[in-house]
Amino acid sequence: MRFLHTGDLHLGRVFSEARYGRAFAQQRRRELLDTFSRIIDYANEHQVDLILCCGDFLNSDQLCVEELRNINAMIERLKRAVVFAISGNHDPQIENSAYQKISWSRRLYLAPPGISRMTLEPLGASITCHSWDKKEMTEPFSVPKADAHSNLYQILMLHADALSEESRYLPVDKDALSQAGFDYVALGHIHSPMELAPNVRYAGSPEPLDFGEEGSHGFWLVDTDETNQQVQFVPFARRNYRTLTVQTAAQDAELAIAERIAAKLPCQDDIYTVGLYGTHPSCAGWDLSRIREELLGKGYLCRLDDQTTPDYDLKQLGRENQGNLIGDFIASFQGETMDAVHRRALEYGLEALISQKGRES
Amino acid sequence: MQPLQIIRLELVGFGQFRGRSITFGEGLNLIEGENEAGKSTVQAFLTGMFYGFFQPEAKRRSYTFHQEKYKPWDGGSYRGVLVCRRGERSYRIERSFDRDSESVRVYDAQTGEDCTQEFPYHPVTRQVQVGETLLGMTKTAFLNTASIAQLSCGSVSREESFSAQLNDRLLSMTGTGDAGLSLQAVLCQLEQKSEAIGTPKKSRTPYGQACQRQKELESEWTLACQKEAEELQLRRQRTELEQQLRQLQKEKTALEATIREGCRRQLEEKYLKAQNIKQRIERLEREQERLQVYSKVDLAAVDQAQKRLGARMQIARTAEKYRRANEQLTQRCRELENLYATLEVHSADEQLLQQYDLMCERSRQLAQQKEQIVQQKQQLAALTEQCRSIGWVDAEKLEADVQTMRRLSKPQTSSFQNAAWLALGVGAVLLVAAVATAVLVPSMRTAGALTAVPALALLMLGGFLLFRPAQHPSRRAKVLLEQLMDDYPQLNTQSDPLAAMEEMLRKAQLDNDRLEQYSRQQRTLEQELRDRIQTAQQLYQQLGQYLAALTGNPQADLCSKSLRESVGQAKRILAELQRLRLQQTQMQQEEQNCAQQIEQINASIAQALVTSDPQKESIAADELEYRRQGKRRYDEVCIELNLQKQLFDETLGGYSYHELEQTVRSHAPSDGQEVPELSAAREQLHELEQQLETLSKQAANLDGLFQGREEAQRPSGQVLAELESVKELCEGYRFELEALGLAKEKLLHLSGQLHRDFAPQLNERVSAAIEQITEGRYTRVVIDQVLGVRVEDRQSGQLVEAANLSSGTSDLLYLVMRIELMRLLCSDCPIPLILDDSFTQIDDRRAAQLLRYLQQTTDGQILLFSCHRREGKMLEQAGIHFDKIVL
Repeated sequence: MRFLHTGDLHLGRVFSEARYGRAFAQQRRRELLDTFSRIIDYANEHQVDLILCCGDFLNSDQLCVEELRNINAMIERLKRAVVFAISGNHDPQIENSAYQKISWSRRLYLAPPGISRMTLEPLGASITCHSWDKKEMTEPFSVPKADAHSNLYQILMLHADALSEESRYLPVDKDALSQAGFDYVALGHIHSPMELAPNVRYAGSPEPLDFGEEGSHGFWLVDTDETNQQVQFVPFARRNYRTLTVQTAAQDAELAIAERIAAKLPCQDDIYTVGLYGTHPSCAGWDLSRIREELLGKGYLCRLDDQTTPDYDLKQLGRENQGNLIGDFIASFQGETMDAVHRRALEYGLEALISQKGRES
Repeated sequence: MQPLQIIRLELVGFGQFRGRSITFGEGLNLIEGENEAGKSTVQAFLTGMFYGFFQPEAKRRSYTFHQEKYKPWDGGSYRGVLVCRRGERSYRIERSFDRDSESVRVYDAQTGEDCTQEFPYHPVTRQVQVGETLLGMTKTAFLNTASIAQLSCGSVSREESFSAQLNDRLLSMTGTGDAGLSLQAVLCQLEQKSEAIGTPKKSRTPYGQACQRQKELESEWTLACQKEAEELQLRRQRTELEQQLRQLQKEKTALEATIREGCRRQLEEKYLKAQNIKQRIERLEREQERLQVYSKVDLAAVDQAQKRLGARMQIARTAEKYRRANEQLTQRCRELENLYATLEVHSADEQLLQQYDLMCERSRQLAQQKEQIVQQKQQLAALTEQCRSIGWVDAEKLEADVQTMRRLSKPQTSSFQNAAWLALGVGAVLLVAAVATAVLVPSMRTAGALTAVPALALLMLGGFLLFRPAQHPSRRAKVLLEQLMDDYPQLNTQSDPLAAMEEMLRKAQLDNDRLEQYSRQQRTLEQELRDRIQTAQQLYQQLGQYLAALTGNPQADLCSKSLRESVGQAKRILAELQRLRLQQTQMQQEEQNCAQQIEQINASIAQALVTSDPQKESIAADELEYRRQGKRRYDEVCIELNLQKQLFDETLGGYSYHELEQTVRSHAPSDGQEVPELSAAREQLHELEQQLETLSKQAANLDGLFQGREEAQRPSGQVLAELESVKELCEGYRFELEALGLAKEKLLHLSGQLHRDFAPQLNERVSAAIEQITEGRYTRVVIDQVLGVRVEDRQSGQLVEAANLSSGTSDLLYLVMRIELMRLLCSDCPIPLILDDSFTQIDDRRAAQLLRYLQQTTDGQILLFSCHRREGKMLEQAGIHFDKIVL
């Protein structure tokens, strides 16, 4: 039997326009669907018997019916495999969930809410699984035991958090998982793929879904027979999230910074979090939107994390302008809690005062 | 910086002025003019040339009422020129006030170079800011400080913008010592940043748009949630419907199975029935084939033929009757003919018999003729006797003799005399004519001569006749009498012979007449007798011939009784025979008619018959009957066959027999067959189907609703995600605005502090000026942040509102404050002070003090407009130099 362990596809997920921009947010949303389509093609090409989808297959409340039909049409393209899915916290089997909105393909089997077990005789496998029927499940999950008398290949499918005991998303003991007697424990919920035990794995999401989800993304491909089991991770993401840093100086122009960032980015397909460090001109901060647009024009999608500071020395500036408006303005912030708003207000005020002074002079 | 000096005004077209030029001096200029001379117009011209007539601080370009007010009265071009100088540089400002061609250009007055571009552009007025640049203050500030119009000293603007501007400039100078750092500009820059972000209410700003979008998304999300809740409800309904549909479908399936089973049984029965019907049909078809010969039999024709056959028999019987009657008639005729042969007149024909009575009549006529002949012969004899009794005298001769006797007995005046006279007359006439002709007409002399000859002849003839010798009658009469005595012996000559002769003549004439009459009668009788005899002979011959023809005996007695009876009998026999023969002829005619009818009937029957001879009556009748029976049976078979076929088709119920057979043999279920015992099930099924249809429609409607909703509404999660994104954006904007607000707050706080710093300075300057002008009446003036003026009453030590003082004092206070404000604002670049009848309410003493104060404290140009001569006199008295301009 050859099966494919995946999960957290989050098909239909809406990406924040504030962070990605309208166009790329929509593109990224489409890319998730494309990735699923590619998984279907992969399964067809590699004679996969079973696709295990460990929850969060859909972002249930963000998909319209037409998109669901498209997804269903993709599933229909499967020649050999069937999709065995459990629902997760993003697609719980509640009323009006996406699974109830259309008639799904016979090649999609969605496990009913709660714990259930299903035997797949032709494949010689038995699947024990748990499906969600609510958005949060804070109670620790009691791991069922495998059938000790069964000769079948026994799989446990869960959408649970095995990394945090305090999780609101079905916390589960990873040791219990590995010791439950299953041949393979297929986990979902954590977006990064990981192997908790030789027989316990998180599939991760095939595509990274937000900044911070760095590292390789894809699915596990498992080949098993009566004696052997071969597990391999197949990187499959269309894009990866990466982080890098760039130094700036006050005299830099935005275009120059964009050029500098672009020169450091290895691949246009990936999504980057670029940390800007150094200084920015005292009269104005960096126009990050300009830098971002410039990079987008070059084909790079970046999130800019501006950690630069003004190029003036606040104390020195206060000393130099003691008794005048600038000095008084700086002095007016002394003794106050300098939170983000105060810091920003000080920047704004100084920027205006200095620029006005410079203009008049 | 050097003070700005206005050198010249050129009012090309402005208000009442057209082509007016006014030149000012460097210091104090007193512009005198009576009312309506145009002092205020000139002042407005100054303001207009520097700033135009735009509403200050307006967000969109709009005009003050001055723009309309100072349009040239003559309707010409609306423009002017102002030449001013600052230090070494002179400016020539050319401005057109016409809205259509509104423009302002600034030239270097010395080089003529266009230096408009050196001035900042104002996007609202879409013009360069000339006044702001050259005078260093806004229009509002200018109108509240440097330019003081009539009766407006106290009307200093309390506008926030003016006081803010004033504060800004003052605090910059007093606080930083650098007038260039404008707090207002800083605040403005921050405000611009804030405006760039916008507010939730400004829908065109990013923040406004984000908020708007947030609201839309919130509404959409609410709506989406609502619709999803409705959709959930609908889905529940749909689920219930589906359950109902499934249940109904199960019931329907069960019913259909029941019906199918019933149908199968019914089908088998139907098959058996169809089988029987089929056999029956086959039998009927065979019979039909056998009776096929009768298929074309026309029953009407057969009926007709049969009727005609009956008629023919009747006619044949009639014909037979006629034939027998004819035979009887023939027999009777024969008997009568035999009887006739026995009669005396057997050889006579009917004509002869018919002539018998005529002949009898003629026989009687013959007898009468014979009697009449005898009588006539007797009459003739009598006549002959009578004629013999009468002597015959020749009357004509006697008459001629009488005549002669008479002539001879009478003297004769003869006719010769008459002729003689006639001849004489004619001869005389002719002779006269001949002589006349010969004498009178010489040419006709010959003719005359010829005529004279006959005339002479005539004359001679006449003479002869007239004179010829006459004979003596008595002699001749005698001779004649003698002859008469010879001829007529009976004549009595004794008496007058002539009378005797005449008597004799008369008697002879009577006898002669009688004889002639007797002779005529005799001739007539003889003729009649001859005729009668001839007629009698003819009749006799006719009768003889008739009798010979009638009886063969010409001598027979025609009028004998036996003959008469024989003739009568013969006539009766002949009449009877004739009648019988007529009857016989009629009978024969009838018989012929019957024969013809029979022929016709035979001909018509022959059409209805196929094999039989129509003349063979019994055979034909039998055949007709057979044909009738055959046809009837054929028709019955056809009808029966059709009925059976219909029944067969109905029994098959849309199947072919083969299909039915196959279906029954294959035990396949069947639908569509009406089975009475299944009607309840079918009704139930029908109801179920109706329910199913209704539910399906409801389901379809729900599907339609779903589809409509799916198409119309985004999923709530999608909306929510976007909403969160927008909220994040709004949060960012709020953060930025909060920071900007904090910065502004800090700066404004600093502004208040600075005002407190500069206010004493202004108060001090105004107090000093007021003290000088009022000659110590007021020594302390306090001006607040919004330019409210209060003055200290020296007696009470209280601060009194300027508005509570006399109007003259109030005017004075504000006037001084404005002048000092202007000095503060323009301390580094003095500008002209324009006073338009500003001293009107100030008494002469204070006015003189004020003029002195102005002269002492003002470095720049002063334009003092006045409608009085007071100011000029005061200036002259004070020995203050001034340039006087009279409008």
